[in-house]
Amino acid sequence: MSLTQAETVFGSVHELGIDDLFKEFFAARPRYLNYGTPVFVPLTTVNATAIPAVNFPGVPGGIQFSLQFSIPTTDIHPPTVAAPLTPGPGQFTVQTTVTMRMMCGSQRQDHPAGTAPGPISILKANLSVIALCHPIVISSAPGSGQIGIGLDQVEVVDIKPDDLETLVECLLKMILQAVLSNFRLPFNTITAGAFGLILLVGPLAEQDQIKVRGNAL
Amino acid sequence: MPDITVAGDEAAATQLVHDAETTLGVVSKSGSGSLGPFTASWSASASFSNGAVDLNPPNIIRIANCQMNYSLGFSFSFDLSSILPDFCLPQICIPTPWGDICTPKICVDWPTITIPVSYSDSLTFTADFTLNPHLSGANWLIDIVIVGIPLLQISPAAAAILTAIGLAAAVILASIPFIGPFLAGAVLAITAAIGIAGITGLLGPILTLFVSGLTFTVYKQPKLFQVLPAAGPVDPAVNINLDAITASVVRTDEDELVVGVDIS
Repeated sequence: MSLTQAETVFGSVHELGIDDLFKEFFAARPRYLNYGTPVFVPLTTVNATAIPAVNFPGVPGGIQFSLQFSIPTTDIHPPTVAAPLTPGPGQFTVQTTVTMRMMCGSQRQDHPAGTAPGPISILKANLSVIALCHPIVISSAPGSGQIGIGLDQVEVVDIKPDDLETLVECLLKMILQAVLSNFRLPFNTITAGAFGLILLVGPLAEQDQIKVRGNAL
Repeated sequence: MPDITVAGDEAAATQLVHDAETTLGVVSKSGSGSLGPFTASWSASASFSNGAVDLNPPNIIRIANCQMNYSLGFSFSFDLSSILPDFCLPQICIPTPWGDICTPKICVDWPTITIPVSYSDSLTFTADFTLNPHLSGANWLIDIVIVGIPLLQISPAAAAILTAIGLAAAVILASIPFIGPFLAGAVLAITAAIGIAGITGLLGPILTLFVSGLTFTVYKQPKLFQVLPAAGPVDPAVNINLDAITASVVRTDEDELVVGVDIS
């Protein structure tokens, strides 16, 4: 069977190529991996994205925390390695490690007279996260369209009790979907600039690749 | 397996070739060569268009009926004395009561004339090209390079050029005093001296210059390939390196031009 099949142009990126694209994307724009409240990230820069603290009555300055994701790696159907989540037809997994930091204690010094402020410490936890995803079309504009990532499910292992694991997974699914929504795979990259692509088929996740087919612009 | 695989069928490859023909644009050359017994200085330009691609494994792209559009200008010098006899009008004296009145003796020494000719035409040819992916400076190129010299059908053009030479010679000769009785003979002598063989002897090598080593660039991308442009002060451009590029023709249930790219 030909690569182009019924169309005239074919383009694909192997999962190792997707990993390279992840590396270059997040190396150029690390702020999409690093998020922090004002204590951790006072201002959004190319390196990190500032987010507001979580206000809570009685917690001066709010709850301060940061999230730092490692550069993700992918495994496109069929699965290459055994994992808690394995990609089915049309799917791929994204694996990352999220490092969560939280400031424990209050910053403010207006504690009651005659009492000492409580100790402030930064607590850290690492979680391995695997997400089941599928490729989506962000824009199908001929030649300049883009492919993105749709997230179906997140798995975080070894958290007990199960209810807490479910809660954390839900939280991380929302966050990771937001993180991955920043990643774009332009048509022009999938064809390495050889063709302007008019997308007719795909994106497909199969044979360890993200594939598209169409006609030349 | 390469990080990125791109394939195009013969229709897509034909489109690539046509884009490459447009990118190549007009190519100009000049020189001098034999035009029968004469030496002609010439300048010529050519461009290419059309043609259908036939892909043949492992790396042949055949372009059928590629059209070469060319313009040719040349000129050559011709000593009319070599075909026309020089002659003199004798002195004539008329006796008068005041003595003889004589006309001067007038000798005609035929000049050397320069005949310029312009001609534009097109021809089609079919040729095989091989794929040549290579890094050139900061860019990756995939060139297709012609194999050998295709057969160029120039006989119709040669006949037309010979006619054009005759017309151009007639215009030049008409301005020469005393040429009237010799005009037709001179034109005939010039065209006969050159002949079809003389035209093809000049035209063939000139057109061959344009197709010899003919190269179309069907792919050109910077090694530092931009994936995403900068989107603000905190979102700089995202680039990848195109580390290696391969190109081949692969035959399955159809023939395809397949490009493999390794990135980092």
